[in-house]
Amino acid sequence: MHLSEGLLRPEILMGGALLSASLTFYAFKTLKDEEIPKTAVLSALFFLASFIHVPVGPTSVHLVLGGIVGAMLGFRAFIAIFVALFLQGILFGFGGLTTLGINLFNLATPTLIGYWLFLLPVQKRITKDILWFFIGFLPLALSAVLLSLTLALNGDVFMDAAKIALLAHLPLMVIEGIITLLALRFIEKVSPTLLHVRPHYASH
Amino acid sequence: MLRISLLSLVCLSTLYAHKINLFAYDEAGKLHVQSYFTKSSPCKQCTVRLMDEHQKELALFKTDDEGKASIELPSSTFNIMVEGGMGHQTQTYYVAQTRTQETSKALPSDTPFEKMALGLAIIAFFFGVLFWIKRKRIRP
Repeated sequence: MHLSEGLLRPEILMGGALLSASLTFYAFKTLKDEEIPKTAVLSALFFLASFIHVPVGPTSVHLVLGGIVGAMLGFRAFIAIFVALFLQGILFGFGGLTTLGINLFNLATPTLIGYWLFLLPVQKRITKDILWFFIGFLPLALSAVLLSLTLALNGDVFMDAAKIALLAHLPLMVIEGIITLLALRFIEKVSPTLLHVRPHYASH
Repeated sequence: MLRISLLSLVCLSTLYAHKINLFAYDEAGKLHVQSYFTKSSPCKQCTVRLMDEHQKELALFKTDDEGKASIELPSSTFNIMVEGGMGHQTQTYYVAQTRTQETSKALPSDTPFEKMALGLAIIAFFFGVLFWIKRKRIRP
């Protein structure tokens, strides 16, 4: 999921950096102090998730858990993911500083889908479970599509890598869906107040 | 049950770093390349490109299942690029009769707990400072 340095064309890097900088700046500016502890915990979760590797055929993919971050943070996911990606870049060389913007855009924007799904009013247990599964599944699917699009935009030589990136993440989408469902059910059981996400997180 | 399921998923997976590392040296006119992610994760069947200073391709080959490959030296200086797929790659400039610098004698650990703990400490510190600043602004 982390695009390496020296791989992408400068215009893609610039575009990604500008978009992500604007969105992250806005998220920082409107962040309320009571939202900070939850943002910090989910930033730590995102930071650690990338170290958990799932072998898929000849390649391997890592957990992202963007759906659960987005569901619980809404727009604040940009802050949590920005901090986690920055640290992964400087401490481990995952991605890098020049690709921070495009990686942040590809990973944080889809988490908003998780948030919007989380706000849907559902009462039935089975409907809720299906919805929570898709909170994990869909953001990762969109991230994989954005990653593939970024590679495809970079030039024809990256088309094969784009296809592999999309296919390799298919099993992980299901795994993330199950993990998100189990995690949200666990939180609902032990601390249901954490799931009381306010609708205005998405807009300001 | 839920707790066990979550823990099992985490424990069954191995910790994994997806930064590609590259080590190269030449001997008797042959270039030897070794590429790996971590101690137990060689860059298997990864594409290796040798390019001149104008990025013209001099040679193209793949690593074996141990992340190793050897080829005749195409020139005295060139760039070595290793592609691990899905946007993971590394590149280094190589001068024959030398060897690339190994970042450490030991290969990167599969479980870099010290760095992970450092990362978590920085996250706690960063958001702590942010909380303090935001609180200060609210209070007159």
